[in-house]
Amino acid sequence: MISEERVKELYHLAAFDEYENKKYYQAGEYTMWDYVGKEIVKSFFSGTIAFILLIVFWGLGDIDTITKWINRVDLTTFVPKLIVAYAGFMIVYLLITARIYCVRYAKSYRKMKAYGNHLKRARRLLREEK
Amino acid sequence: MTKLLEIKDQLIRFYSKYETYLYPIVKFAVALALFTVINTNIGFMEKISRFPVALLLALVCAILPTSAILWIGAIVVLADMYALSMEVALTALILFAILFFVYFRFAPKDGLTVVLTPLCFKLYIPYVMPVGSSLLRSAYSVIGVVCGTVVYYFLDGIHRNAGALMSAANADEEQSSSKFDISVGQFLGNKEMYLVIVIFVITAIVVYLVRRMEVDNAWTLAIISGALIQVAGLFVGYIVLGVTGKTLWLIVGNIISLLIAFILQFLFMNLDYARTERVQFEDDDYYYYVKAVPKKMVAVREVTVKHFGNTASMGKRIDHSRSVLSPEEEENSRKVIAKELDIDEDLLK
Repeated sequence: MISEERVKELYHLAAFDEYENKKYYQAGEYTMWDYVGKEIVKSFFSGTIAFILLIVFWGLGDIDTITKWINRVDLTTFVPKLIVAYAGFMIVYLLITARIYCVRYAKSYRKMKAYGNHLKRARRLLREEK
Repeated sequence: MTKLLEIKDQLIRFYSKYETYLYPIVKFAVALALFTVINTNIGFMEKISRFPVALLLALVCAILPTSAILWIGAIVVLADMYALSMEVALTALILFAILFFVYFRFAPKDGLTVVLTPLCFKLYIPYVMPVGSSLLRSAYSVIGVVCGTVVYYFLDGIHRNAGALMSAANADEEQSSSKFDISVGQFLGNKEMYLVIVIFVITAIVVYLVRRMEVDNAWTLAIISGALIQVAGLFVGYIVLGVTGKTLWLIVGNIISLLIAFILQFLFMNLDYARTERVQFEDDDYYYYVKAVPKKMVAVREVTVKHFGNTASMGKRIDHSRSVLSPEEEENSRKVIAKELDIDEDLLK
């Protein structure tokens, strides 16, 4: 005879596998700081590219002035300023990354925990039936 | 009101029943509107700026995931920019790449907001975007609206300066720096864009905070406060910046946006504050003060099916080939009908 309770549990498991597993599986594979760390490394590269593109875009806006300015620029004062700007941009970018992925990990962890509970209940019901 | 609630209920049922077909139709409509707007405003590449091409691309978008509208739209824009000038296409590519790395790195599935914002700008109702996104989603979804605003002002600037860019393109090759100056300079120096972005961000934050407040009619208050902030902020901002000719559409657009926001409220958060219940209970760790506000709903109409005649035959196959009943069957039917109608059996003879 079909156990209605077990069918409900199996439905939850199948629904998670079908629709949500791809989204949340990483919470089961990584610890929180590994997961966030991995995303911070990715963000380091994407943030650096974004910063370079921003500088290029800003430079394109007034290309003649930039060309004249490059000829008489004092690199000893300009480079530290550029490094400070880059560091400031990256700190903000990486902090946002850390915050976003901490929240996402917490959500994924909750989902995975709920999935684990359904799995345990389904297994218990199966054992009881046998 | 009851009629409206019934219509809402029917709409929800209709959508759940035909969701498989309706979702691609909605994607098709949004994509077609986007490609048509692109073609009419910046359709510099004639080959792809025709209606059949837009129709074909919209059909492709209907079967692909939602984010495909954004990607295909970006490719079409880049092709149009390339037809205008190589330098403008490069500028557009850099801008899209910045938006990708700064925002879509974190919210890859938020493309629809970015697509809808420029469309709403063309329809003079961009004010609905910060309000709508903060009502239905979290406050940070306004970043998608900001990205859409940036894309709109960039493309609008290209549209307005198309003549200057074309003449620069037809002139000497040495003019390439002036093409960069025009395409990027008009964009970075656009103070109206900065004003709109600031007002949109403030609106989104206020709407989000107000709608989460524990007060009755929080959504209504949030919508009205959002509209007021936008009207007042942009009106003052336009005066300060010396922008003219925008006041009429600012007011009309905000009124239309207000109506759309109220429709969203009716569809997604229609509460009956008159029946608010307050309960208190406790467990081992906490004491709970719960305020429960019921949703406005219409009771499902109960349909009673009354069966006449011999109900014993229900669900059984009816033999239509027999036109004449046996005397016994006729007698039974007469008894049942007479009983159902509460009349004398002899009347049916």
